[in-house]
Amino acid sequence: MIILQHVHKAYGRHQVLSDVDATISPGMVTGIVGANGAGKTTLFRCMADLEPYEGDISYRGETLRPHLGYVPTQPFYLSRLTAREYLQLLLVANSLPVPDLEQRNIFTLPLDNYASTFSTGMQKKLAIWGVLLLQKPVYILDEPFNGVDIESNMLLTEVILRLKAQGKTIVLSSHIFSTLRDICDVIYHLEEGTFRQKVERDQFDALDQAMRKVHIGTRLDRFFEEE
Amino acid sequence: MNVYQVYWRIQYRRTNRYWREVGVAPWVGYLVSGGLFLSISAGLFSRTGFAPYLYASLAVFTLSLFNDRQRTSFLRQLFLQKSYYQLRLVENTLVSIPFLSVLMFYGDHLVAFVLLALTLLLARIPDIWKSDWVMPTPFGKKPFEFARGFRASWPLFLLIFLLLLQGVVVGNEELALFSVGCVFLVAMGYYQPPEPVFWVWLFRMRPAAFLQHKLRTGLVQASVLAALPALLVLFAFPGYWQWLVLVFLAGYLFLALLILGKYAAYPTPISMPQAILFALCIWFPPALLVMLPFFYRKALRAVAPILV
Repeated sequence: MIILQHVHKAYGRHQVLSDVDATISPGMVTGIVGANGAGKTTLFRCMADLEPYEGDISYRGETLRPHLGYVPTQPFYLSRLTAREYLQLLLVANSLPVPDLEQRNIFTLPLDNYASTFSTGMQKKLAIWGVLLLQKPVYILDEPFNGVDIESNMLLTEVILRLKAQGKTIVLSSHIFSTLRDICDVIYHLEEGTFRQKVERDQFDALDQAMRKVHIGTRLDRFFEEE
Repeated sequence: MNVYQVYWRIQYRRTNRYWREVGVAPWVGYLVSGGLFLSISAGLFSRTGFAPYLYASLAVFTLSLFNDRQRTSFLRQLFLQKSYYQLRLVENTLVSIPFLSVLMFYGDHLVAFVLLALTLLLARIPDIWKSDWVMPTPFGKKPFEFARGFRASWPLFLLIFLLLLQGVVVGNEELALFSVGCVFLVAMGYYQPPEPVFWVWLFRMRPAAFLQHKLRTGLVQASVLAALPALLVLFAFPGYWQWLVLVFLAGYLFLALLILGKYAAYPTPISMPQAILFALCIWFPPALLVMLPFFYRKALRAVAPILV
């Protein structure tokens, strides 16, 4: 179980996260939705200990970091390193043996090409594959479906469901509500740096409608009426 | 204001910003770096006969950084082809002028001529760096600094081997030993600039284990790079093995100093005061006995918040 208690984060005077509290159950897929700038990426970076923050984030009473596989929203690859070398570095950095990468190449990525020259979707797939190789109990995936083609999208959905079946805890964000609706057990609605709602599976449609009302409102009606 | 003026103004601002980031006023930075360049040049040319080769190597290495693929792609987007080549020519010439001036001043006209030719050539043929071809390296098992560094700096190894061969052919053992030392100098360049925090964060190691891993990998992989030139020196000048051991020892110590210095300043680049401490160690090598543990302790503190 991941517990977030009174998590605050500010950049100077700009408060990004404010009193975030949540209990994320093990073996479940938890989605975080929110508009751009709502604080999703900052929250994930705090959970990964990539940002200093106030408050407490723990996993089974310990710090979450060692148990975590984290995929950032825009993975960054250093130039002149191949995908194979990136994965090798990742495994060496975690003191893990390097398996037969060809055989486990679920996304059929060109392993001996420079990772920095990959498309956005391929870079994302490489980052996801990397954390899967680490076999952690918790995964945080920031916008995992961004830029990923339809085939990989289906594959990724299946990967997440299989991880869940193995009892792993997955926290992810997405701009595509339908994607979250298909795979999440719980969705948190993050707005202005704080969780406004925690919604269970049977209330997803209601959340979708409520968010549409808030984010679209009557803006489109007015626009099309003017046309 | 035309696009050239905007470009040079931006470069000027970026340089000023860099000086402020390392903690000095820009005018002090320009003055100190100019003064250091001149005094180091005078010192080097008065002490060793390899100074012209070192200067040419340094200049070509700096020029090669300007040929980075992402950089040249960006410039090609901004400028028409003719303007692009003009701009690159001006950039390369500006980089080479200090080196050329020193070489001319000390009468090394041949080396200066070769450097000038390379300066013009590298502005015209950046496409040798554009290829997607992945150069194989012996560093794939524990990749990072050396794998990518070697791919970026391979032309320097051609120069190093040329120096080495010249040393062997003319029977100049000092030149041959110097070329082995150059391998370590190039390897030191692989540790700058610092990598983004995520690339340290992904190590699941305690700070001490992380630093030891970095030091071990650096020293082993530098040895791999220096092995072939060292064997050639041993073969050509077997009586000089003690000097070769000394070159390796100095190479290891200064590489370790640079690795620790990098992580002592992490995640920011090495600062001016740190660079002065490095220079002190070059001038007075026994200072390494104090500086190595000093930077080790600083590095432990700097990476601790990022690692487990």
